[in-house]
Amino acid sequence: MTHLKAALVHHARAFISSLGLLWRRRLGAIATLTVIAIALELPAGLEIIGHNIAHLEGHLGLNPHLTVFLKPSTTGIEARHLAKQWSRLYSIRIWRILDRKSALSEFRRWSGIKGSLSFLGRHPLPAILVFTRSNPGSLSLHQVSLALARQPEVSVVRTDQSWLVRLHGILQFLDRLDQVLYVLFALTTVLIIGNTIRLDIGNAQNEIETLRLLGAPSSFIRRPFLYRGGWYGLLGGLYAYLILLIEFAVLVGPLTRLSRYYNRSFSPAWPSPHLGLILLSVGALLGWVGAILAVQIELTRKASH
Amino acid sequence: MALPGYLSDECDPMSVEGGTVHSIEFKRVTMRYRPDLEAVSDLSLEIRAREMVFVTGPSGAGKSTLLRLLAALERPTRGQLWVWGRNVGTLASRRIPAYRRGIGLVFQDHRLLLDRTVFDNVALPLVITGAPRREITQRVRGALQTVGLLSREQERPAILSGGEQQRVGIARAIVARPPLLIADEPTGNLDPLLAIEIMRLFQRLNETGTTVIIASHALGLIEKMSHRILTLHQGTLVGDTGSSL
Repeated sequence: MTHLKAALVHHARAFISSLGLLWRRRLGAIATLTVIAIALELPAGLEIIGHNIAHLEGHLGLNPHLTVFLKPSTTGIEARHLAKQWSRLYSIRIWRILDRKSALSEFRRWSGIKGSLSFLGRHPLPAILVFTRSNPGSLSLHQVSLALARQPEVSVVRTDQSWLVRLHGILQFLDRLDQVLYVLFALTTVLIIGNTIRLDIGNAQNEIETLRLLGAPSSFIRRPFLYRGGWYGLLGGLYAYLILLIEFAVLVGPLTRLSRYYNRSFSPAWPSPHLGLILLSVGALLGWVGAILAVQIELTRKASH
Repeated sequence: MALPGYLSDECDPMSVEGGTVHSIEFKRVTMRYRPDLEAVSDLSLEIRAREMVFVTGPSGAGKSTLLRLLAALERPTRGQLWVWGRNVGTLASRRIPAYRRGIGLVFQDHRLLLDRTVFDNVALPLVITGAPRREITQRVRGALQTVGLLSREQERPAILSGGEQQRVGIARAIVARPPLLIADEPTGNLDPLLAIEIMRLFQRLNETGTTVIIASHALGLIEKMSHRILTLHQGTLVGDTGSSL
């Protein structure tokens, strides 16, 4: 019990004293924390931007459409029945059903040709079904279009998704880039904190030597540096979250204005408190890892000297 | 003499293989730093608990090496060093910190942490053991009272005189009440009056039951103290006035 109490006292003292040391060296600490915060913020910011672009795409009604031209013999009732059947079968959403009559009136209104069509006796326009994806995870419209093209009632199938495919490609690339950046910047954070702790150990050489002479165990000597690494990571994570909030406060105006050009109401996704918690915990973890590496290498090297 | 807790649980007198639990024994100890540099040669001697012993001799005689061996800062190249029933030479590395906490070390260069107050410096050995705050305050003030520096507890060591800094070092060495106090040239940088004052302080500590071993080349000063004097020359014991107990 006494040992446990002493260990708790040691941890509590190291926890508080390491924070106190950061406060006493606040100018240097702020510079280090800024670098850590930027390293943590960049991938998180990119992820939120990617998320917002994807979100904006959905809000602007930019889901790719699949236009199915039925054979002219298909009646309006049959067209509706087929739309419902295919919607269920391929998990696609019915965007619009245009029977032959509606297609003709729309064509007249759109083209300005009115009287000349009556010469044809029986108008040539087919019924048209327009589908869209029901959710991003469903079967791709390209696969659906291939399936529908094989149906006997279908004359032609057209998709208008080419530029959206490119946009999705870019978003997927951003997503992958973000994953790569997460790894690189995590490594950067570990190295920054590790190097800072290494310098701290160098500066505390006299103190470490004295503590060893007074009988301090290695754990006692290492503990403040480990906590310091944790604090660097934790505060760096908090700082990164604050930078993200400021960034979005600056960006939210132009983004909302952009969505208005498309006559859509769009609320950009702000960095969530959940993301803040992740940044804090990941930061603390990376800081701890950096400190462990620095302490392990540096103190072992000095002890062997 | 009752052993302190951190030693007694590891030093069961029934399991002692060599030496006695109440003494320090050098058994034919040799310490070589390099094959051609023998700092201590075939040294055999016994120091009993509560003794006050001066180790003297010219520079390079092996005084500091003897103290470094006692503090487990070096391991003997040959021979055995028994301290309260434990062979220090074969002590496992992980046990050395606990062993060292049973010794109060006083250095010629004080080894004080200049960015901390006198109080914080003296408190270090107690902080290392995880002592409660109230106990630390009580003991640190007691130690500072003993060395006459209670009024300076909140000052930084840098503004103290050499003698005062040395007394802070002594307070730090005695604050955990170790049974053994080792001092390496504690009066080396002090004027004669301050040196006498420091020696009297050690004498008072010895009178409270602490074993005190002091390395010093100030022969004139230590002869006045009427305690056992060990004289080393080129690593060999060439003189021993015998125990004063």
